[in-house]
Amino acid sequence: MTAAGVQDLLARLMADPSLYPEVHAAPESFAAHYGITVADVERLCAVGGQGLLVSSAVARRNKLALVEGVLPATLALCRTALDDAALCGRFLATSRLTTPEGMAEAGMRLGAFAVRQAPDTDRPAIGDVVRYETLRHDAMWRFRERRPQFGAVGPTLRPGVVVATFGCPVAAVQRRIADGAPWRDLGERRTHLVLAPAGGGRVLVHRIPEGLRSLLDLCDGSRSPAELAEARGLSTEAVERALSSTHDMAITRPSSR
Amino acid sequence: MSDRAEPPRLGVGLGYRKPLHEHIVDNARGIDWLEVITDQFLYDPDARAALREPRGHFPLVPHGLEMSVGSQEPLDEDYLRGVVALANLVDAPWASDHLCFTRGRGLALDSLNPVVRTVDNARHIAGKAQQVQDALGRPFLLENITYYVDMPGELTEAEMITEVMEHCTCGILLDLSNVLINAGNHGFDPYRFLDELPLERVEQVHLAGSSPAAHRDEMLIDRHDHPLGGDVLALFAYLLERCDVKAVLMERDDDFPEDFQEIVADLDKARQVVGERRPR
Repeated sequence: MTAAGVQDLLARLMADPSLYPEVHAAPESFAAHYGITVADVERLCAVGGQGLLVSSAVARRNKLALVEGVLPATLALCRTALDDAALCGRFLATSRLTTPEGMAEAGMRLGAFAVRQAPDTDRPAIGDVVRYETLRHDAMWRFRERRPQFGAVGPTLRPGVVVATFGCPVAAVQRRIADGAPWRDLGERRTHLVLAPAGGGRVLVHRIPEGLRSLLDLCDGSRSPAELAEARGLSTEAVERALSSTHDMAITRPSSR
Repeated sequence: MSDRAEPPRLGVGLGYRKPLHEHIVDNARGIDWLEVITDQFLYDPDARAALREPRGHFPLVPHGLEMSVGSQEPLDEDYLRGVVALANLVDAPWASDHLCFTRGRGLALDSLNPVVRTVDNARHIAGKAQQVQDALGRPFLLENITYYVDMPGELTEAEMITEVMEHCTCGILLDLSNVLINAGNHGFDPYRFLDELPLERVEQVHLAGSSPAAHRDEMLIDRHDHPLGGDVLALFAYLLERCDVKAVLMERDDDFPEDFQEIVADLDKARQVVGERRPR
């Protein structure tokens, strides 16, 4: 008996238990594919069956619990179109969801599916919700990279902070979708958000006015507050007041010089 | 191959779960040590920094999910480095993971799966477990898993564990709840199973309860969501008459009780069994 081949076949069946009848019916082709004997395939089928269904259900529950903790609305949207077994088989089978990269990968696949499945009229809002959940996850992990910034002459965004614009009140839409509640009544509204990691796995979400969004776009460390004011047609005092608030909210930090 | 180090005696501990943090700190006197799930701390420097507080009160032991010693591929070196770093950070007396595979041929299963039980595979797994222990510089224990597919092979589960232990100097983390669930699902005697193991290699025990209602397709499901039952305590007493266990850990993963004293009561039950039993 070849451990590698039998375990690989078990893994395949765990990821896609709908294959079991096919394996049972045509052991030769699976034996050839996995480099094992027909007898090995038949032995696995003989002991598999019920246990396989239970194992794959347990694995599925684990995977979906991890995704639900990070991308609840994206998952809820996908679940309107596919059952859990199909979702796991198609989008989650190759992602190690206990790692940030694995979760990001899964999020991209699920998000793309959620957008594709949406009716045309819903697609912009769905796209925003998927992007919002992805950015929120991204903010958490970029914060953890903690890249130092040296020699900045002006204010910069703090590590992990993301500034993004959406076409709907996306935080509220996301909550409604995650809760399975109606959301279309929230309508469209240009919404600017700052997503700021707060430690302990939390991300704080601040809604900001257009003017502050426009100011934060220029906060790359290359401009002093006076230069920011000139670029945006504001007084230096107004810019310094705004930056004082954003420094206090751990969105920006002053120059490192 | 590194010599087999003797783990210290830790007593009766509890699986660290974030929702239980405040209760654990408030009831520190009734808890001897904590087991932390390694994977929850590998990618999060804030979570690692937060371990300073419990480390001030308790010995901490990392217990991982993704070492996947049973995979046919080589060990994930990045994962191993992370586990070693965490063990060093908390000055762990040992670390543990499972005798299983969690990935293969590009598939990531996010679950603990049974290995094919052959002598060759046992040696392969032993080699990888030894590699982990050598990198850790401290004992590495392998836990027996719950399995719903009784994998075909030359060996029984007990023979497989024995064969793995023959070819490495690692230890066994014996999960008695998993033994009972497997015995119920696959029709073997859990006491005879213990008799067939190299019990001198058992360094730590896991105890847990699963809701009697936790069934799927007529199989008992491992949930760790219930107080300890008499069956697992009886099996624990039987074990303690046959070997000296350095540490016992109570696991509760779900359906946390509103009153933490329910968990304290389970710790006391385990402590009572330890107090009443001595190896023959």
